[in-house]
Amino acid sequence: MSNSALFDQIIALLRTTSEVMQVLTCLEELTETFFSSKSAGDHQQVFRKLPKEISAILITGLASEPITPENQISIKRKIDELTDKLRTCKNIQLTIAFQPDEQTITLFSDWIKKNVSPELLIDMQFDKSIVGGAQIIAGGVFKDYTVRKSLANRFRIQRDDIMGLLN
Amino acid sequence: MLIDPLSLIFLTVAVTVLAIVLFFLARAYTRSAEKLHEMDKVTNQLQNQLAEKPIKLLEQAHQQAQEIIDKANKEASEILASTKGYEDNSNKALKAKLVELEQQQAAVFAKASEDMKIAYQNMITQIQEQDINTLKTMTKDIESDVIADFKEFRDVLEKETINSEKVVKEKIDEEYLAMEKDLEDYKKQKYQKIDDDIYKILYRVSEMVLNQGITYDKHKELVIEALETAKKEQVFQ
Repeated sequence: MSNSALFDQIIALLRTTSEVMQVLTCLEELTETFFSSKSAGDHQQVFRKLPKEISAILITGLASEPITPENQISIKRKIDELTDKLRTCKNIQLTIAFQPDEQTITLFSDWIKKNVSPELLIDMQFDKSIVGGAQIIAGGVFKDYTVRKSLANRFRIQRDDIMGLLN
Repeated sequence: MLIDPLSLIFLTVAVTVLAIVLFFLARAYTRSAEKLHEMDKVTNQLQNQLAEKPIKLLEQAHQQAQEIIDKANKEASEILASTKGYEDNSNKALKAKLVELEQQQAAVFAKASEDMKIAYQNMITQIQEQDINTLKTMTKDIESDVIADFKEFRDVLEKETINSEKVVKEKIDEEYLAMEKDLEDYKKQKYQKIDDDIYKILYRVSEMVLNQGITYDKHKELVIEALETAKKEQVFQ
């Protein structure tokens, strides 16, 4: 499997920056095991902590064979290229008001990959005070689409009416 | 040694002259001594006479004085005898005169005393009247002065009171305005704080209500709506 294909497969499955960090950590661990006399199973074990589909792709692409002095360099090069690509992946920071489950994260990720870019990741943040909606930071631009802001706007616009009702 | 004949003659003449002179001097001395002796005798005689004469004179004077004293005593006795009766008469007349004079004097004194009493009473009455009049005048003057002073004092007091009142009123007005401004500011601050607090409370209540009211699906829907809005606004470009 070429390195580009490996990246395409991985990035298609990766949804958030935290998942990318997990992958990078695993790749780093794998690199550290190069000079230890471990079997292919031991090397593959490094990726077992990742989601199953991602783990399978990485094992297939990088640890299907035992790491020997002969293939060590080429594997290392693959890891480095993959690491570089993953590190340079673009992401958007998405702050939401609730703790999303996996399906919801997938829902948001799919929407972004479909509507914006397949390689775009989500930096998911949680802030209950925004009440609902989301705050988005993309390419250095901040946008506030939260219920809190809508509520504030409504209160600001209709402040006099609200105060009149209170009085 | 030879002596000049002229000198010898001259010497002889001189001795002769001296002898003559000496002779006359001795004769004059003798006469003077005799005269002096005679003068001493006369003097002694005179002294003796003088020593005897005063005693005689004294004796004569004593005798004459005694005679005069006796004569005087005799005359005095005669005079005393003659003046005895006159003295008695004089005493009686003098006493009578003294009594008369005393009565006259008493009458004069009584009259003078009465006159003085009347005059004194008149004077006292006059003085009393004058005092009363003076007192009345003084009372009126004092009353007038007091009234004038009181009026002046009242005017000054009134003026000062009005001025003080004016100053106090101005001060009160200033303080009132300052206080009113402070109060207005305070009210504004308080109202603002109350507004803000109520606003915050309302806002927080709304947040809490909305937080509890928004369902999980609604949350997801809101996020997707946010993403779609961002896409429309080309946030991802």
